[in-house]
Amino acid sequence: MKTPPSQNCHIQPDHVNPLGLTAWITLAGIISFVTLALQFIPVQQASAATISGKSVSITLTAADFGLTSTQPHSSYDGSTTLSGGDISGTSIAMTEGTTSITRKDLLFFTYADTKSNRNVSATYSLTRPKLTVSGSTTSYVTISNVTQSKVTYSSSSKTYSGYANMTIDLSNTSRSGSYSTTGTTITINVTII
Amino acid sequence: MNKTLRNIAFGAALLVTVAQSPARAATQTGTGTSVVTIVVPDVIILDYFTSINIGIAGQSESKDHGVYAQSNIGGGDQSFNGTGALTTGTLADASTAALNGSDITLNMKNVWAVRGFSTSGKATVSVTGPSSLTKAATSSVIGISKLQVMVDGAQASSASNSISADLGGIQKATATKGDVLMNLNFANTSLSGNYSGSITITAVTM
Repeated sequence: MKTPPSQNCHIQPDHVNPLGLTAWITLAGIISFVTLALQFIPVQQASAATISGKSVSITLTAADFGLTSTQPHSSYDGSTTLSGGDISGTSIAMTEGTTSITRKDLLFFTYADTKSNRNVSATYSLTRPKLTVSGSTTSYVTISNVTQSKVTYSSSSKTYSGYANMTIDLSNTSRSGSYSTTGTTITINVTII
Repeated sequence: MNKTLRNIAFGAALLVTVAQSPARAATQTGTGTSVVTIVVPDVIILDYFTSINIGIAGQSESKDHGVYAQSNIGGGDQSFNGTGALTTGTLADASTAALNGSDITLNMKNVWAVRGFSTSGKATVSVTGPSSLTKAATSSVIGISKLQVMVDGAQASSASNSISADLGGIQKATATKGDVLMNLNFANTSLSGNYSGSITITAVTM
């Protein structure tokens, strides 16, 4: 039998009478019963949370950088003499390329569960978010942010799918090729309720 | 007694509340690891001008050939070649190279820029063009030779019709800017006015 300690503290000798004592005993008994009753309500145990991290691959295109392959400028105007030499004409007013690119709703993990009403959420943490390419030590891609976008449940496959938005930065990238997570880890902490 | 009843009622209410509560859920956490691969394509951005307008300042020279003399002038109309008459051999060369038949070199600075991505981080930049600039409806031409490109600020000896340039990524701050050089020859130029021709600058990832 469990009695909340605070209740005993409030019992004063002056207030003890058969009626009051009965009341406390009754209440303590009920609380004990309630506590006991809770222990018999079955807990909905989530199955073992086995999270499968998915490989994430992003293929960029030239359009992602906001520029076309040719950037014409209207007119270069300069002057010289019949002696020739250097001509410093109109400067090229170049348009800035986009180096921060976000891909939305990338599949990062799956979690199998027969129950469809779980509350599943995830957080993503990065370590050494620098992706490198073979043959270069100066050209790299940085993952700057990963945030959860959504979690969906498939009744047919009995699987939750976790999606996230990922932002990458190419301000230090000069080479084309496949950049991979050598030494880089994206850890997904998934909470299932 | 009433107090006892209240306590019993409270307890009963508590039981009802408990009975209607959803079953307590269990919280579990799991950890997964994703391998990320990002494929960066070959990208090349060439900035260029659709029109290059070069104005050449007019120039004059005068050459003093000393004395032209003729004696024994008759009383009527006559023609004569006096001493010191100008001949092809006695004409002085112009001081300006362009006016005495020599080539002059124009270096149009920063008329193109390249940036982007390639497997080597470099691109080939080349230039092609006609052998002369022409004036519409005339036979007067300005000859072109040694049409070349060069990275701005590089040694002149690096100029060529095809060069290698660093791409430096997609940002304009890291783009490589370059010049176009051409030799002009005015040996077959007789008319002032506008002369035109098209040159083509090509950038290819490498």
